[in-house]
Amino acid sequence: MMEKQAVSWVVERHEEIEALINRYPERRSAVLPLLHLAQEARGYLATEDVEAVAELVGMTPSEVTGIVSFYSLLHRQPRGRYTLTLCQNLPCVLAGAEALAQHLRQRLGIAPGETTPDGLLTLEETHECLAACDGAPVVQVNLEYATHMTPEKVDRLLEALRAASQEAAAPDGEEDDAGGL
Amino acid sequence: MSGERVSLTIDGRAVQVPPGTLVLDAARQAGVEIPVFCSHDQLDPVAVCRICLVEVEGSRKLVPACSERVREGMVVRTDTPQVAEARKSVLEFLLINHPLDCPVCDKGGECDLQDLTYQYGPALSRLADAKMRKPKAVDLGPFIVLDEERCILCRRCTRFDHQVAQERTLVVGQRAHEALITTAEGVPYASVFSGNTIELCPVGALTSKFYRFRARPWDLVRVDEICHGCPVGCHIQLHFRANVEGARLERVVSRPFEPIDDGWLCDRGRFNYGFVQSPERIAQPLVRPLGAPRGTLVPTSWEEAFRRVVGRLQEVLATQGPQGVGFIGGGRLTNEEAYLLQRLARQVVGTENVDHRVAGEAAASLDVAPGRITDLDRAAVILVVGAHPGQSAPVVDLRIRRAAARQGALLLTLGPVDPELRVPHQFLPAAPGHLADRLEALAQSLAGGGEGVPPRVAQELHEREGLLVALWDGREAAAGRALAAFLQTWQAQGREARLLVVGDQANSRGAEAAGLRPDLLPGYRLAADPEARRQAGLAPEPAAPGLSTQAMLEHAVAGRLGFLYLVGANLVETFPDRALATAALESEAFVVVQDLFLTETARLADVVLPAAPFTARAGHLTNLEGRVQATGPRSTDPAAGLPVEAWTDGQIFEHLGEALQGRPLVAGAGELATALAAAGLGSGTFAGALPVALLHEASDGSPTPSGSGEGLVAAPLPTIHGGGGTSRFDRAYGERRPLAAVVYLNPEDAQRWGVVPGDRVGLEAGDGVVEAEVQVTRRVMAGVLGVPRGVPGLAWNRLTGAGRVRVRGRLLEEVG
Amino acid sequence: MAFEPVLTRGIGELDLTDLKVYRAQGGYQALEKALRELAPGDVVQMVTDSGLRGRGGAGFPAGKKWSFLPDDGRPRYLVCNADESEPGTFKDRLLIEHHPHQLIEGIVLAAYAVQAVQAFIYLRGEFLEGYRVLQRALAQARDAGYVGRNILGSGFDLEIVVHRGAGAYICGEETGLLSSLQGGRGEPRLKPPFPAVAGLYGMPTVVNNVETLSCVPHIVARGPEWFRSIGPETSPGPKIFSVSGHVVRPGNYELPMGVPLAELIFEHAGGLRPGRRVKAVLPGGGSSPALTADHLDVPLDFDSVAQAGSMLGSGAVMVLDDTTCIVKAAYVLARFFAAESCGQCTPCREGTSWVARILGRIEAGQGRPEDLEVLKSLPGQMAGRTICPFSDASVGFLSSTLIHFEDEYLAHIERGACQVREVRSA
Ligand SMILES: Cc1cc2nc3c(=O)[nH]c(=O)nc-3n(C[C@H](O)[C@H](O)[C@H](O)COP(=O)(O)O)c2cc1C
Ligand code: SF4
Ligand code: FES
Repeated sequence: MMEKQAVSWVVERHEEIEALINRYPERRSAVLPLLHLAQEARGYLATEDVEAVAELVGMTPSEVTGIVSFYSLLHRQPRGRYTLTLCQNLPCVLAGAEALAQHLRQRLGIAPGETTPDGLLTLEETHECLAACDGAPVVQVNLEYATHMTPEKVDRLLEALRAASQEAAAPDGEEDDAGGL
Repeated sequence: MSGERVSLTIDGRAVQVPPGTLVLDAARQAGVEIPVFCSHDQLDPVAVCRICLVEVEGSRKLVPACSERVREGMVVRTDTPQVAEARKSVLEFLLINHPLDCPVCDKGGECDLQDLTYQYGPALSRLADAKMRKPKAVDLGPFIVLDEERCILCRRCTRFDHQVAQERTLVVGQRAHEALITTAEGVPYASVFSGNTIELCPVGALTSKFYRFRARPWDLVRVDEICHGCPVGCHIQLHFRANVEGARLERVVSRPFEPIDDGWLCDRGRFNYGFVQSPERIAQPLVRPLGAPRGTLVPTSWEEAFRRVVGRLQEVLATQGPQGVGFIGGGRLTNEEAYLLQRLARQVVGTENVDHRVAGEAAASLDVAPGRITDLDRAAVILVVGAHPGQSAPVVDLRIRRAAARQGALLLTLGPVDPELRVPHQFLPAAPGHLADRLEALAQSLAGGGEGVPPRVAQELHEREGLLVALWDGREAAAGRALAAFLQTWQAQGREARLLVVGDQANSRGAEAAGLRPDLLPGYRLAADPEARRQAGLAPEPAAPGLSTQAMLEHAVAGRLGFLYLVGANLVETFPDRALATAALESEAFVVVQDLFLTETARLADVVLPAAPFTARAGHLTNLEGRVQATGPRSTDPAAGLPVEAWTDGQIFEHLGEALQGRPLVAGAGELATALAAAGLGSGTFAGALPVALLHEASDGSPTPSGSGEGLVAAPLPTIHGGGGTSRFDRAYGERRPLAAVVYLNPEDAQRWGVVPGDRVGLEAGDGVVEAEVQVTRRVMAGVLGVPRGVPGLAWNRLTGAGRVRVRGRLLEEVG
Repeated sequence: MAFEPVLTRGIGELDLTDLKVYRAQGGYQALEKALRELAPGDVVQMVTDSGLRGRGGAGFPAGKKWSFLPDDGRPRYLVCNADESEPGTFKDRLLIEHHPHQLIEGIVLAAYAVQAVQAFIYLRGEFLEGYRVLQRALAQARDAGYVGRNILGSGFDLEIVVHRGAGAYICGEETGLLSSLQGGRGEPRLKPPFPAVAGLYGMPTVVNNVETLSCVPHIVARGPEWFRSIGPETSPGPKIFSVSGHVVRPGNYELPMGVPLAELIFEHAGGLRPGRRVKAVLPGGGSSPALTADHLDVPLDFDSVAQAGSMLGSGAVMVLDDTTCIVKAAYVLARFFAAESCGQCTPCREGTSWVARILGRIEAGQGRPEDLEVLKSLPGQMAGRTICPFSDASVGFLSSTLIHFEDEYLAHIERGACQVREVRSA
C-alpha cells in the first residue's frame, strides 16, 4: 500500500471535491478552492492536508507549500475558534484603528498572529484594506464584517463570542462562519 | 528559416541574429557584456533580478535584456548613465539585506554579486537600519546547506528543479521581503541532481556540505576530467588544494559540454570523490600467507607480490595451459588500460579468457541504429527497455525528462520494473526473461497486429512521425535481438530510429571495443577470425575458445581454471549469481585482485594489488554513445590523495607483461595510440559497436528463472548511490546517501504473501534466507521482486541467482 | 439635469439579489436583446462606441481590449476581476453583495461579445458574504437560463465559476490574478505577451473589473450614445467613487465621471468636520499620488486627474484633513506595500521594505538627515523597473508628499516628533 491513510475531508466531501476540480479546464486551478475546503474542515492546514491537496491537483507538496505561504488567509498552524482581523490600512488608521489594535492586544493579552490560551480567539492585524472604509475602523470576525468599531464595541463583541462558544459547547462541529454576530 | 536574420544595433555596433534571439545574447554576440543574475542559458527567462535593464529606443521604460527578444531595427544602449544608474540601484537593493560575510563565504572570489558590485555597484551602503534576518545554515538536503540571508531570490535553483529536473521539490515560499527558498515540511531536497543548484547559485546561498570552508577559489588547482561515475561521461573539473599531505581533491564542478551534459552533473559525479583520498584505500600490496585460510591477508612489498603472481601464473600455465588462466574486469579502466589487459591475456599469456562483463550484461553497444545522447532532444518516441536511466545514466535521464515533459515525446518503458521517471510515461510490464516477447509484440503492432499491446500505445506508435530513441540496459540477449528487429521495422516504415545502450560501468563500451571479451579482438574483430588474429600478432587459431565471465567462474569451481585475475571487479557484489562467484573465489584457483579497496571480493584473494584512483591516470574513456574522450591529468597536474603505494592499473599490466615476457607490452605510447586508433578508439572519434550476431543466448548470469509455480522472480535494479565499487567506500558520501536494504513488491504479491509495507521479511533463496524490508509499489509488475543492486547488506545476487524466491513472511523482532 | 444613478440604482431600497426583483427592474433584457438581435461583434462595437474605460484602475478602453483578442480558433476566457483590494476602494463589494445579477448579466454579455468559452469571477478571499450572494444569484440565473448551456435558446453556452482568492493584494493585478487562478502563487507575469494574446492557460483572455462589466448591460440596453452623454468626452459614463477618510459621510457615491473633487467631498460626502481643512487627497486609492487643497477643482476623470499629477485609479477618494500626519500616512501605506509585494522583482521586494523601515523610523522620531536623501532617490529606483506596476504604485504617495510636504518629513527628522497634532480624529 503506497497510499497514505486518506484525510477525512477527502473521503467525506469526495463528490464536492470532484465537482470543484471539474469546474476548471486544468486541475491545478482547484488548488485554492481545495485549500479553502481543507482549512474549513480542520481550521488550519496540516501537513497531511497539504499533501492531500497536492495529490488531488497533481502538484508536489512543495508546490502547495509555496502557494499556501503566499496567501495570508491560509494557515499552517492551528487557530482559535474565531479569528479577529483588524484592518490597519490608511482609512482605518485615520479612524483610530491603531488605538483599537492596542486595546485588543491588551484585552486579549496576545500579539497579532497569536491565539488566546483557551483557543477561542486568534488576533490578526492586516495591512491590507478590508474594503469597508465607509465603516472604518473595521474588524472581520471569521470574514464577517463588524464596522465602525470602538473599544466598547469590541469588548461587547468579545463577550458575545465567548457566550456563543459556550452555548455551542456542542460536539466538535464545523467551524462557525457566522461568528455569532 | 535558417537564413533569416534580424538586424539591430547595440551600443552602436550592428549585429545580425536569428529571430527570437534575446537581446542579452545578441549583445554577447556584439561583444557587449550585460550583467545578469537570474538569467541562465538553460532556464526560461523570468526577468526578476532586474540587473540586465537596458535602454531600447522607443521604449519609455528600461527593458530587461534577458527576456526581451530582438526586433528588426532595434536600437539598444547599455552604455548610458541611466543604465549604469539602474544597475547600481539593483545592486544596492540586493546588498541592503545581504550579509557582509564575504571573507568566510565559500563563494567569495567566484561570486557574481561580489564581482558585479565591484564592477557596477555603489561604493557605500546607505542602509541605516538593521538587515532583515532569515534562517542561516538551513539543512536543505543531503549535500546542501542554504543561507537564506545570502539568497538574492534569482530563482535559478527552483527553476532548475522545475524545468530541468522536473521534480518541483524546491520552491519559493512566503512573499515580499520574507520570500525564501524552501521545500514542503519534512521533505528534504534530495534530488540526485541537487548539486547543480550550488553552481547555479550566483551567490553563496547554496553551498556544498563537503566543500564548506575547505578552500578559497584562488588556492585551487583545476584539472579537466571526464566523470568516471557512469557511462554518460560528463565533463567535469577537479579542484585540488595542496597541503602538507599532498594535493587534496576538494570538489568536482561541471565543465559544460552541450552534446553530453549541458553543464549538469548528478550528485554521484559531483559528490562521490572522497574515496580518492580515503584512509581506507589499500595502502600496499597484500598476500595470503601460504597455508592460511582465505580471508587472511598480510601486507607485503610490490616485489614479493609480483613474484607470487608471476610465479603462480607460470605454474598454472605449465599445468593447465593458457586455458587455465582467466582475466575478468576492466569496465572501469581507460581504453588504453583495457587494451593492455587483453594484450596481456592474449599475447603474453596466450588465453582468450578475458571479459569485462562483471554484472550479467550481454553487450555494451549494438550495431543497429547507433545513437547520440542529443538525439533525445528531437525524439518523438523514447522507448526504455530494461534500463533505469535515472540510476545508471542520470544526466541522460535529464534529457529524457525534458523531451517528455517539455517537447511532448511519448515515453514508454518496458521491463519487469518501471524505472522511476519524473515525467508522464506508459509502463509496459515484461517479466524477466520475457522482454523479447513484449518487444516482438510491439514490433507486430507497428505492422498493425500485435497481441497484448495497449491500443492507445499501438495507436500512438502508429501515428507518431519522426525519431524513435531506444535505451537498452544491454542485459537480456534475446531482448537485444528483438529490440534490433523492432528498430528495423520502425526504420522500414520510413521513420528514424536510434539506439543507446547503457553499459554497466563507466567504460564498459571502451572495454568492449578494446577487446575485453572472449569472442572479440580490439575493434570488434572476431576472435575466431584468422585474418584478424594474424593482424593482431596472434596465432591464427586460439588455443581454445575464450570463456565468458560465467564460464571462467564455473571452470574455477570445477578445478579447470587455476588462475583468476580480477581487475576492479567486485564479483561477489556485482555478479548475478553470488553463490557461483563465491564458490569460484573459494576454489583452489589462485586469485589476484587489483583494486582500490578491500572489497568483498578482494578479501578472498591470494594477492591484492593496490590500484591508483582515476585521478592518477591519463587515457581515454568511451561513453555510452561511443564518444572517445580524453581523461586524466597531464604531467604538470598534481597527484591526489594520501601517500599510498599505488600504481595505475596500466602500470601494473605493463609491469606484469614485462616480467612475463621480458619485454614491454607495447613498444611505447605511440604504438599504443596507433593500436587504439586501429581499433576505432582514436581520440575524439566514435567507437564501433557490437554486431547483433554476437548477442549470445544465456549470456552470463542473465537471470533465467528456473522452474515455475510459487515464488517470485528477482529483477535487479541499479542504484545510483550504490554499486560494487568506490561509492561503497566513500564514507562521507555514504553517510549522506544512506541506502536501505529494501526490496519491492507489487501490491498483489504483497497481499498474497501477507506482508505490508515496512515489514522485514525473509526471502528464501536457494542457499538460505536473505532479510530485507519490503516496500510495495505498482512500479514492480506482479510476480517480480525488485532487488536493488549494490546496497551494502543486501545480497541481491543471492536472490537473482536463486531462480524463484519465496517470501517467508514477516520476521519477528528477535531476528533484527 | 440631475444625475440618475445607473449602477447603484435601487441598492438600499430593493433586494436586487433576488432575480425576480432584478428582472422587474428591467434586468436581463439587455442580454435577451443581445442574444436575439446582436452579433457578438455588434456588442463589441457598442462598448467601443460607448467609450467605456476600465474601472479597475488603468482606465483602458474596454471595447478596444475586447477587440485585441486574436482570431485564431483557440478557446478564449473572460475573467472578472473582483479582487477589490486597492486601499480605500469598496465599490465592487457593494455591487457584488447588492447587485449580483447586474454583474452576471454584464459577464454573459461580455463573454458573448468576445465569444468566451468560460468565465471566472476572481473574488477576493475576504469577501465571504459576496461569495454566498454570487453563488445564490448564479444558481438563480442558471435556473432561469441566463447562464449555462444554450443561453435563452441562442446556442451560446457559458459557465461562470466563482473563484475565491486567499488574501493577496497583488492578485488584483491582472497577470498576478491569472497566475493565481491557474493554481499558482499570485505572481505577475512578464508582458508581453498580454492576457489578450496569452492569458489564462495561455489562451486569449479578457480581464475586466466588476464595475466595468456592470456597465455593459446598460450600454447594450440604452445605447452607446446615452453612455457617452454622461461625463466628459474622453472618459464618459457613471462612476462609483468610494470616499473614505476625514469626511463626514464616507461611502460610495455614483456620479458622472468628471465630477469636481470639491463637489464630491463637500456636496456628496458631507464635507469635513467643522474647522478642518483638506490637507491631501488620494483620488485613486493607496497607489495614487496625493493631490492637495490646490486641486479641489480637478474633475474626477482619468485624464484630468492624470493632468493634475495623480491618477483616478479605482476612484477611491481618500481625504486627509489637516490633523493628519503625512509621514504617518506614508508609513501606513508603505508597510502595506512592503507586506504585499509578490517578492519577485529586486527593486520592489527590497525597495518596499526599505522604504517602510525608513518611514517607520522617521515616524518613530529616529529619523536621520540622510534619510530624506535616500527617500527621495528610492521612488526613482523602484518605479518603471519591474514586472508589474505595483512597485510604481508603492511609491506614488511617497513621492508626491516628498514634494508637497517635504517640510513635514524634515520636521520629523529634525525635531524627532510629529508637529501635527494627531493622526486620528474619530
Ligand atoms: C498592483 C495592482 C493592483 C490592482 N488591483 C486591482 C483590483 O483589486 N481590482 C481590479 O479590478 N483591478 C486591479 N488592478 C488593475 C488590473 O490589473 C486590471 O487593469 C483590471 O482588472 C482591468 O480591468 P478594467 O479594464 O475593467 O479596469 C490592479 C493593478 C495593479 C497594478
Ligand atoms: S513589481 Fe513587485 S509586485 Fe510586481 S511583480 Fe515585481 S515584485 Fe511582484
Ligand atoms: S482602510 Fe480599512 S477598510 Fe479600508
